[in-house]
Amino acid sequence: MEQIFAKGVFFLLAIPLVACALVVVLSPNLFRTGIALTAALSLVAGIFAMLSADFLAAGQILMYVGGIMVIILFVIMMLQRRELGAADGGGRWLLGLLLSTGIGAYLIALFRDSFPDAEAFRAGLPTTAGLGRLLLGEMALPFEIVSLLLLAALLGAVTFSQRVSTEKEPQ
Amino acid sequence: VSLFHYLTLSAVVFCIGLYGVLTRRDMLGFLMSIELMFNAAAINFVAFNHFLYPDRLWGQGAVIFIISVAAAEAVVGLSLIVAIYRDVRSIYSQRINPFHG
Repeated sequence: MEQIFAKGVFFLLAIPLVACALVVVLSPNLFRTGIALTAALSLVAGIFAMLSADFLAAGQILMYVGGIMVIILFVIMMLQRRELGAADGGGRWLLGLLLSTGIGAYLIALFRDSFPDAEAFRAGLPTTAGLGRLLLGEMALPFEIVSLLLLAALLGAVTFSQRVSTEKEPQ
Repeated sequence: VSLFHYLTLSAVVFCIGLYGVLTRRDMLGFLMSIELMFNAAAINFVAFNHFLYPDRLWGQGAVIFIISVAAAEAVVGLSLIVAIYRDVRSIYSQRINPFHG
């Protein structure tokens, strides 16, 4: 019974996720693409919750949907003047189709051979305290490197947006 | 729901994102396809953590780094796109469409 319920929830999350991903890739309308990506990221947060990663589910909503997607949608609305042409790629769609289906089939075959047995469903414990201890304990060095990376991204964003405006002034 | 289900889901999403990276001509769509691939990798990390090492949290820690690197990448990429758009529009007003090729 529990297994059937879990499977139902999984497919309830997985099928819209794949559909939203397809809309992201195939839709020529950039705004629709952004909305579909927002929905897809929220569904990924649901997948995280199913995998008993409660902190990551909340962080996915906060960081991705609340932060990154808002910036992307903001830029789309700021820059979009007209409907873009269809994402035809001019013959590259065949290469993309072949490459992605080939890699996908290979990955799925690999996974089926490597991890055949199903694990029993396990009730999740809260992970926030453990993640905090991990991040400031064993993962302290990557944590500090990521803080440097974010600082560099901040400086880069300021530099890129400032250089153009100072160059335009003398003209 | 076994580990194979989650891995298959993430492989499908990853390949959809790969198709988008290969076929999209506009930079914003490109960026969003890359975000899709990041999330497929994150699903893999969390699924392996949940099924193979349920008493450790290293996979979830890796996903935190994926999210922060994706945030940095989105910020730099979007500021570059805005800068290129402004620059190109100020030089060639209608000649070059930076979102198309």
